[in-house]
Amino acid sequence: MKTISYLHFSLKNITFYLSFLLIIIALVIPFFQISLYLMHVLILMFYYIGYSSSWNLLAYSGQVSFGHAAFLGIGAYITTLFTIRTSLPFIGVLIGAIVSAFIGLLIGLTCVRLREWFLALVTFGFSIIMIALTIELDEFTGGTLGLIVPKLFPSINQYQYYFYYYYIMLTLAVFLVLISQFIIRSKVGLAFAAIRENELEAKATGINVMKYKLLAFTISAFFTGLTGAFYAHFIGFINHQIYSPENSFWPIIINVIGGLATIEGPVIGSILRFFIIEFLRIMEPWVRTISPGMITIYPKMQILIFGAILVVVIILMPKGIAPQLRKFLTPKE
Amino acid sequence: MLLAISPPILIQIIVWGLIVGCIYVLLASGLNLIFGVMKVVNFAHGEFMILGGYISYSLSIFVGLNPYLSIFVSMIVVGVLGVIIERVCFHQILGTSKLNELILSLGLIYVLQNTMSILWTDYPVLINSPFESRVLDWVIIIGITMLIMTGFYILIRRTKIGRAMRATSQNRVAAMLMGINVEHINMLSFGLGTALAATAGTLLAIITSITPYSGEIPALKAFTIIILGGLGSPLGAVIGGLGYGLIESVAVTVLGGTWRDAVGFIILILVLIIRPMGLFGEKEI
Amino acid sequence: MKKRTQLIIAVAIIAIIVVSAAAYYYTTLPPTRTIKIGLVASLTGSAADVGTDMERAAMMAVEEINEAGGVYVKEYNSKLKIELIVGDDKTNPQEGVAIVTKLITEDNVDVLVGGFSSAVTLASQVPAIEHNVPFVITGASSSSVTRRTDKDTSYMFHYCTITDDYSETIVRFLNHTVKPIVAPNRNLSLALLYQNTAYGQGCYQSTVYFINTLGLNITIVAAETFNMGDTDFHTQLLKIKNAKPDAVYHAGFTRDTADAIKQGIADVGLNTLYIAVECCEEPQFYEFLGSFGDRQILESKFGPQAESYSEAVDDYKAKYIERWGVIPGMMGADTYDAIYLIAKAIENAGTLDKAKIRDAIENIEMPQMLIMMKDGIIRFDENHEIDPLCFIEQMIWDGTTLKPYIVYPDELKQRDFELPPGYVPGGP
Repeated sequence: MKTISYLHFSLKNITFYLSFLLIIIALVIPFFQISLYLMHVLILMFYYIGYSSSWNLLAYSGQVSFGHAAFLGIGAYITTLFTIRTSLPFIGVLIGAIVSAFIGLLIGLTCVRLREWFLALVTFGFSIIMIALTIELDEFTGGTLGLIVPKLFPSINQYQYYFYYYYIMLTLAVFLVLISQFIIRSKVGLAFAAIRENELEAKATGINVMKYKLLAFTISAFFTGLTGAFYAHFIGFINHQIYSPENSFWPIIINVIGGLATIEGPVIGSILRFFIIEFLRIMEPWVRTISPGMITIYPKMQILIFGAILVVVIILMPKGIAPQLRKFLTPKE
Repeated sequence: MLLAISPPILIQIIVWGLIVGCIYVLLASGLNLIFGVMKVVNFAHGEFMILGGYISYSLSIFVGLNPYLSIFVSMIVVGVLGVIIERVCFHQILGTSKLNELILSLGLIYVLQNTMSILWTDYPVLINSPFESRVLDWVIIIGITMLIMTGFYILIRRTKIGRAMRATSQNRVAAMLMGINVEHINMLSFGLGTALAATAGTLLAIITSITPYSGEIPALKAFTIIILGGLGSPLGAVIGGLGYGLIESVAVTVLGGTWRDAVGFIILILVLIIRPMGLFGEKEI
Repeated sequence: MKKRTQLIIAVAIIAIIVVSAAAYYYTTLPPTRTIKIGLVASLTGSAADVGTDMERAAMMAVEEINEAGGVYVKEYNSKLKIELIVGDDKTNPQEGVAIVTKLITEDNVDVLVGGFSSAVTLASQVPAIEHNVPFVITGASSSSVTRRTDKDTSYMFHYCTITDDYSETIVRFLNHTVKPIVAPNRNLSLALLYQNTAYGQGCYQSTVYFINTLGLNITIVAAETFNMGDTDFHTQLLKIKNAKPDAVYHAGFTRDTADAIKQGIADVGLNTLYIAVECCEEPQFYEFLGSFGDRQILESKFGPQAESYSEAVDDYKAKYIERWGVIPGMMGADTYDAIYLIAKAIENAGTLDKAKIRDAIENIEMPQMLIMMKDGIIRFDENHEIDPLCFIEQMIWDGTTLKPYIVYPDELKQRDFELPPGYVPGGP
C-alpha cells in the first residue's frame, strides 16, 4: 500500500480522529428522530461518563473511593433544595458542586493518611451515614419519599427537554474528559501519578503528598457533585436511594472494565455498559418466550454477568480494555 | 434514654448485643486471619458467611441434620470453596495493585450474591432450632463461639501450622526462606477464614434470618472491627466484635433503627480522625 | 496490518454498531391495531415477589378478555385484542423513569397500569404526565401520587388502598373490638414498629391522624423504626416491651413482618397482639409465620387465604392456582381489577384517544370485583382515589396450617375475635 505522506498516523493522531468521530456521531444522533427512550439511556450514558471520569480523577492519585455516591447525592440534594427555594437551578448546580467539594475536602482530611482498604471503608461508611442522615432529616430532605426536583430550564414537552438535556450532558461528559486530560497532563497530574505509583518515593522527591491527595479529593468531589446535580435535574426526583452502594460501585465497574487511571477508560466503560445493558434488555422478550421461569432469574443474571466480567477482567486484563486498545491502535514500525 | 428503660429489659438489650457480637467475632476473626497472612482484604467475606448459612439451612431442611451439627459440614464446604477462590482469583493478582484486590472482591460480591439469589430466591430463610427454649439456643451459640475461638487460638498459638501462619504474617520472605510453603499457608488461611465465616452465617440464620444480600454490610462492619481492634490481633477481633454488637444494640435503643448500620462507621471515622493508625495499631496503616 | 487499514476497521466497527442500533430502534410497529397496556412492575429489587404477582394477575386478566373476543371499540367497529407489555422498574426511581419513557415512546402504549413503591412511582409517573397517558396506579400506598401539586395529575388514577385506609381500619378495629376486652377503663396502649420508608412513615402518620381526628382513646406508647431489608428486630422489640403496649402495629413487608412477630414472641417474650398490614397478604407470609401467627391480626382488602367471602375472589383464586400453581398474592388483585376497569373504560369511550379514555376512567361506574368498595361500586372521587372496604382477619393455627378468618367489620364477620394464647395486656 502506498504511504500517504501528509497523514502522519501516530497513536495520538488516531486517538484524536477517533474521539473526533465519536463526538460527531454523538452530536448528530438527536437529529435522527430517535425514540425518547434511546435519548434517555444515551443521556444516562453521558452521565456515567461524567461520573466515572470524576471518580477516576481520585483513583488517578491512587485513592479508590467505595462511596462516591455520597458526593453525587450531596450535589443532587443541594441543588434541589436551593432550586426549590430560589428557582435558580444553574446557580444551584454550582452550589451543589461547591458544597460537595467542601465535604470532599473534609472527608479527604480523614482519608489522606489512610491506605487503600481503609480509604475504601471510610468512604463507603460515609455514604451509609448519608443514608441515615437523609432519612433522619426528613423535614428537610423529604426522607424516603424523596423530593421532586424542578427542571433545569422550562420546556414545552419531554421531547424538547430531552433534546436540550442531551447536549447539556454531552457537554458535561466531554468537558469532564477534557478536564481530566488537562489535569492528568499537568504538573498536578504528574504528582498524582507519582503518588499512585509509590507514595514514599513521591515524598522523597519532594512532592507534598498530603496536599496533592487532598487536592485530588476536592477536585473529584467537585465534579462528582456537579454531575450529580445535573443528574437530579434530569431524573426529576431524588431520594435516599441515590446513596445506595450500587450507585457507588458503578464508576468502579466502569473504570475497571474501561481501564483504571486512563482518560479513555470511563468513556469505553460507559459505552460498553450501555451496550451490555441494552443488549440484555433487547434479549428479554426472547428469554421470556423460551421459559417463563427464566424471566424471574434473568435480571439477577444481568448483575451476575457484570460481576463475572469484573472478576475476569481483573484477573486476565488487570489494566482494563484501554491499554489493549492502545496497543492495537499503535502503528507497528 | 437508657435510664428510662427498666433494668431487666436493659440487661436483655445488652445480652442481645453480645449474642450479635458473637457473630461479629467469628466474622472478624476470619477476615483478620486472611488479612494477617495474605495482606488481602476480602470484602466478599460476608457473602461466604451467608453461603454458609444457606448450606446449613438446606442441610437441615432436606437432610434433617441438626443445625448445630451442620455447621461442620458447611464449614468444610465453604472452606473448600474459599480455597478454590483463593487459587483461581486472589492468588492470580497477589502482589499486583491493592486496588485490584478491592475490585476483585467487589466482583465476587456480585457473583456470589446473585448466584445465591438464583439458588435460594430472595425470601429470607430461618433455620429452625431443634430446641424449645430460645435461651438454650443463645447459650449454645455463645458456647460454640467460645469453643471455636479457643480451637482457633490453639491452632494459631500451639501448633506447627499456626507457627508457620504467624511467621508468614510477620515476614513473608523470611518465612519462605525458612522453608515454609507460603502458598499452602495462603490457601489454608483463606479456607480457615471462610470456614469461620460459614459458622457465623449458620448462627446468624438461627438467631435472625438471612437473605442473599444480608452479608454485604456485615463484612464491612467486620473490617471496621478489625481496624478498631487492631489489625492482625486475634484478641482485638474478639473484644472488638463483642463491643461492636453492644454498641449497635445500644445505638438502636438510643438513636433508633435508622442508625443501625451508620453508627459503626461514625465511630470508625471519629477514631481514624484522632488516630489514623486505629485504636491499637502501632504503625501507619 | 497497515495503520490505515486498522483505522478503517475501527471506523467500520463503530459504524456497524451505530447503524445496527439505529436499525433496531427504527423497527416499525405491527400493522394490526391492538390495545396496548403497559404494566409497570418491580420484577427485580426489594419488591420482586410482589411484581411477579402483579405480572401474573395482569396476564390472566388480559388472557380472559382476549378469549372472550377482546374489547369492542366503536371507532374501529370491531373487537380489539389487548396486548400487555411489561416493564421492570427495578424498584429504583431512575429505572422507573426510563422504563415508563420506553413504554410510552417506543411501545406506544395506550394506557399504563401498575407501579409499586411510592417513591419509584412518584418519579416514574412524570413521563406519563407529560405525554398525557392515563396511568392507573395499583401499587403505591402513598396518596401523593394523585395529590402532588407540582404536576397536573389529571391522568393519574389510584386504584389501590392507601396508608390512610390501613390505619383507619386498624384504629377503628382496635377501638371497636380490642379495647372493650383489654382496656375497658383506660386508654389502649399501642406501639408501632414501622419500616423507615415512605410507606412505613405513611402508616405511622395516618395512625396518629386518625386517633386524633376520630377522638379515640388510644395512646401511642412507642414508635420504633427499622431499615428496609433488616432482619434483626430484637432491640426495637425490647424497647417496645419496655413501653408495655396492648398491641403492636407492624408496618412492613412480608419478610420483616414475619421476622418481627417471630422474634417478638419467641425471643423477646413480648406476648401481645401483633397487627400486620395487607402488604403481607402473601402465601409465603403464612408459611413463614407458622404457629407463631396463631390469633394474630392482619388488615386486608383481599383475602385469598381466608374462608370464602366473595364469589369473585373464589373464582379468581381457583383460576390463578390453575394457571400458576400458587395461591395469589395481594397486589395482583388490584392489577387484575384495573385491567378490567381499563377495558370497560375503553369500551365506554369507544375510541383509543387518550384524552377520551381518561374521561371514561374518571366517570367509570362498575360493580366491584376483587377489591370490595364501601358501596359496592367502583368509582373515582375528586382526588382520583377509590373508596375501598378493608377488613381485619385473625389468623388461626389449627396444628398444621395457619388460616385467616374475617373478624371485622361486622357485615363480613366470620368469627369472633379472640386474644392470642398467653396474651399479656400492657399498662396505661
